Amino acid sequence: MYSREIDDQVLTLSASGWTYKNTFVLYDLETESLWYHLEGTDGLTGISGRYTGRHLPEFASTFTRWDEWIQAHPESGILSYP
Amino acid sequence: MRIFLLLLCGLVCGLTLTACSDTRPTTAGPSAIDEQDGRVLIRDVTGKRWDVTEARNQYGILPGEFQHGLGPEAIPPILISHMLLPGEPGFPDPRADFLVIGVLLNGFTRAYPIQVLGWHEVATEKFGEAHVSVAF
Repeated sequence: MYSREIDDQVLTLSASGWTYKNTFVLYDLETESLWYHLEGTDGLTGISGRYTGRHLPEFASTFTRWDEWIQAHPESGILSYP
Repeated sequence: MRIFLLLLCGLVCGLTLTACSDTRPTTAGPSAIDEQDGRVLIRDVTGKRWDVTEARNQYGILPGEFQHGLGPEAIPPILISHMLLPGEPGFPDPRADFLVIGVLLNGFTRAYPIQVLGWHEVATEKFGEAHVSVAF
């Protein structure tokens, strides 16, 4: 999970349709800069466009099973999808 | 003799087709890589061109190694997410077995099913004052 705030601007990240080394390459709708999780780094790095060289920090998240998650966090919400 | 020639012809044609099918490209890289005025652009299947000059020059990313190039409309992000809370209709059985990304941030506790993120890749979110993207 990544921050999408930079220079007092809020970005909208989306899949660019590209992958590189089996990892999605994201882009922001506002500037079409490309964002990529470079190996050995935390967060996303701007690799092309206006935000080249800039960084979007990563927030901690847990990859787990639902039953384990809700047992540990019974107050949790869950993303709904029709 | 005529039958023998027909069989031989069929065999040769079959081998030729097999050989052709074996030489089909197995990668799905850029539709084209264009270099002009020192810039490098890769083209996706929709014809959209992406400037990857800095990616190559600053990070050593190889333009030809980008894959798929489905276009930016192929995997739309979730722009407005809706959270189900415990007790609400449709809230999953706590014993259900599926994978999620769980997040604790700014006093909010939320789970994102991997299956849904797989369809969209990115969920656009806000945890209090923090604007984030949940990506898989």
